[in-house]
Amino acid sequence: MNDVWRSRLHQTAAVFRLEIGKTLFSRRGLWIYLLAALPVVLFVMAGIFAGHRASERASWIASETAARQGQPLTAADFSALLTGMSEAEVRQRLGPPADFNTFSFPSRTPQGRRIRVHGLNFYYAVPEANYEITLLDGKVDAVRNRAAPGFSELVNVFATVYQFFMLRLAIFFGCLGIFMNLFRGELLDKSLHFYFLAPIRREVVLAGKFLAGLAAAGLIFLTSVAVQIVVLGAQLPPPSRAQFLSVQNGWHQIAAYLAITLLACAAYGAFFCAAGLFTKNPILPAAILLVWEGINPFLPALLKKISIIYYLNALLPTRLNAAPGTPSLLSLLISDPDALAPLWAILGLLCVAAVLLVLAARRVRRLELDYTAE
Amino acid sequence: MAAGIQFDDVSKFYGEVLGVNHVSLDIPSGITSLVGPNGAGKSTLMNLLAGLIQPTRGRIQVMGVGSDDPERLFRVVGYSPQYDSFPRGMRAGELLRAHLRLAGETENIAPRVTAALEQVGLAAVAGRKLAAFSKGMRQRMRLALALLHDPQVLILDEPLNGLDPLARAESIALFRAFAAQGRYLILSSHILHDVDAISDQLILLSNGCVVAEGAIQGVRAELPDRPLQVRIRSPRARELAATAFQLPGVMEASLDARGVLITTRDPHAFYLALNQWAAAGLPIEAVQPADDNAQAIYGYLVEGAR
Amino acid sequence: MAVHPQIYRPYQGPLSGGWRRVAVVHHYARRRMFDSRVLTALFFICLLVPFVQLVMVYLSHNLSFLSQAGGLKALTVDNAFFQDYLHYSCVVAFIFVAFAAPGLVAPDLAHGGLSIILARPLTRWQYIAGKFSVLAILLSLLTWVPAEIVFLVQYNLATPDWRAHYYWIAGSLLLASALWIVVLSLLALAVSAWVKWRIVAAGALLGIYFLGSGFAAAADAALQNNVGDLFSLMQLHLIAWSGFFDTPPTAPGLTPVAWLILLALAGGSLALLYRRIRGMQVVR
Repeated sequence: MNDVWRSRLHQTAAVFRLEIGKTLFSRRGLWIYLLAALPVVLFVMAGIFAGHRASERASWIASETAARQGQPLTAADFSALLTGMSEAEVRQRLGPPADFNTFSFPSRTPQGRRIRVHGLNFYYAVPEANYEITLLDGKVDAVRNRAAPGFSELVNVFATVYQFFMLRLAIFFGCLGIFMNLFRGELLDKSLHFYFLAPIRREVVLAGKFLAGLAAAGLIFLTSVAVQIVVLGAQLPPPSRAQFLSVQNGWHQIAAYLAITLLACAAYGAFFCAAGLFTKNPILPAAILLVWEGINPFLPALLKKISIIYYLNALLPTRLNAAPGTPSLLSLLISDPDALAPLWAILGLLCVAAVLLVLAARRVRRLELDYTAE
Repeated sequence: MAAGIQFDDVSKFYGEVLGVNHVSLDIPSGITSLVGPNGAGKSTLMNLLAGLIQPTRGRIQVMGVGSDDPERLFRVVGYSPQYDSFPRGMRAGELLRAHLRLAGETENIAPRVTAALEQVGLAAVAGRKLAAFSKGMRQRMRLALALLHDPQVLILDEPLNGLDPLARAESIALFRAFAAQGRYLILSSHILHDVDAISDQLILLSNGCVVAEGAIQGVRAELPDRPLQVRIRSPRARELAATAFQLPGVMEASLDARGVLITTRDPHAFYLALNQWAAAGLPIEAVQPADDNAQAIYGYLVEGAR
Repeated sequence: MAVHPQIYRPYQGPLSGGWRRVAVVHHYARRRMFDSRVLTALFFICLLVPFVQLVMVYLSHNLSFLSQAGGLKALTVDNAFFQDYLHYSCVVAFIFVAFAAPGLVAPDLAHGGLSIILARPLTRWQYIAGKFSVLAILLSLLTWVPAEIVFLVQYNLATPDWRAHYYWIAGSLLLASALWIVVLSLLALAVSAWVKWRIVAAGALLGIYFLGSGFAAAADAALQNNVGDLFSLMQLHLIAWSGFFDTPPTAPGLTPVAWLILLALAGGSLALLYRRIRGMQVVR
């Protein structure tokens, strides 16, 4: 490696050192840590709730069985419940509830007359789940079950939270905060000239800043994902955990989630870095990308491919079509194109990131510093 | 193009607003002052020189390096811009060390940082946060950054702004020592008295155009439509005034507390006559050009043109 | 020795009241906001929602041909309908505020204008009131004002029976909108004052909304209950609104908690604004 390139490597490292400190240890970036910690806290809470429900379940089963003269309830007993059944019928089928609470709220009849609705929540349990039966004015309104967290439930919960919160929101906004600040933030702070007045190529500045941003985002979100997996894994009994890791390609899946996290940081990072250079207000393209990727499931196949989330979703070990809470009418509109091979998805993401960085490099080379315009 | 600092028909437009227009300059070594009213284009010219903005037309070369090649340009140029801001959270010494590392330097960093801080009188506050610096300290810090790598060319945008009298004197001494080594120092200033005192040449800008360039006396000599004013102090001021007024080129001779102010269209003839009067016994205590300075040139070429 | 003739005379005329000065702050803040063509366009795009609602109200009174054909049920215009309408209006209004509000306080803080403004006989509360009034009026024009117009149209087209039973919705629309306007305006101003940079404030507001909603859904899925709804700004309002519109709450036990959180948001935003709106900044 000749002297020029060795010098440029040192310069890249110097920029990296400056930026990584600013990104990882500044008070302005604290919210990114909180963002990454949210799912961890969520899974810890889920574990605590699951433990609490398990002990509730054990005591409820005992009291129900005693009340039913030694005859425990089964899931089939609850499947037979219908909306509109009376309280008496429920008691007759299931016996007295292990626990209950009452509530009321104001409402209106279809004719508009004001009434007060009285509600009851009956709680039952079977070994697989806790059941909550909601009765309004003495009639069954809803039957909900909270399944004991088995292996598949935990995988689904993690997949849901990862696909619809981590990828689409947490990593998106985290990368927005980190990468937008690399250039646009320096222009707002009026400190970019510090780099531009040094004997360093602007492309080298871009490379150093991008690598620092990627390292910071990668460190924060990879740690978050890893800790989430550990917290969820701790809720599994050891035999299930061992089976997941050894028989069901567990390590493979964990590596896949970590790799997707890093690729997402790289792709979104390149986008926001470029957006910060090309636009005075990078929030606008970010908002457009957010909405575009939000409606991605509903787009035709060709338009789906013009997004980052399409390639990331193609790499997911467990992929869900619709976010939780999507109305059924909207779910019908979701189109599921042919699955993209992982290799093409990775290449596609890397190409997108590379193209964006090349455009950003061209832009930064011609960037004129005029702080008065900011 | 030869080495040195050259502007070759450079124009810069900000949309429809003119920054500088058809500027062609060949700046020699020594101290060159950019002078002009607000909005004349001084900072634009400096930012063009430093490559922070690109010309709409024309070319700029500094020591044979184009202004669009920062990697080579800033090895020979040190620029202290008007921007009064630094990277957040940094301390004085830390910033200078970072600047050297950005330049790809890996050796001898600490002694050079100490030397730069001592040069501007900030060695005692090397560990203080830049955000807590006063205006004058920030000005000196910018100067330290510009001098850090011992450049051949120094570009300073209003370098004496905010400095106390002692710091001003020290900075001026620094500038003179720098220029005395055959290097190039370009500075802008509104304080025309300072421009007079330290500059070897000046570039006068107005409305984005170069109105005059060169040594102050040389510029003055090229304003024949502006009669020269000379102030003479003599105990026989009235007699001197009456005698001078008889010369054909003399337009005015006025008396005030400081002596006689002569306005003449023909300075050469007047100075010849003055020598003769002195030789003839007329006592003359002092002879001083009254408008052979930056202030007068500014007044004639900028304010007079409005 | 020097003699200084006393020719200066301070202003001796009547002074305007405090509220006039608030109106000055309001005037210039609103003018600056609508200097942006993008914001002006966005404001008018937001008015499409009440237009769609008007069309739905009209269709609900003119779909007899469909019920004769045995096809779709006619639209039911009742308290739930108006609550849903207000929900969509408020989402759209939020997007407008996310881009409009940051320009109200952030530039004054970022460019040091606050010390000049507060050097006048203007208190911090008057300054905040002036900026708040801009958002309050614009959000009113996007929420309860068109909502009341839609309600009036429905009221005129409806049967006497409907009118007798649903006249109270007019008040509910006003109260629910007022809650949204107060919380959102204070939150937007506080975020704008906290982060100082306009574009960062816009990102923060969008983040609060989308991240909150996303985390709410994730929490509901992970915890298998509705506690996650407390993290979503819109869900908090929907829970509180169920009391105004007499609609079934998504989680009855969460209503008092939702109200507490909303009050805490408003109070916290005010406290943050009071802390940040100062004429002087200390750099440590």
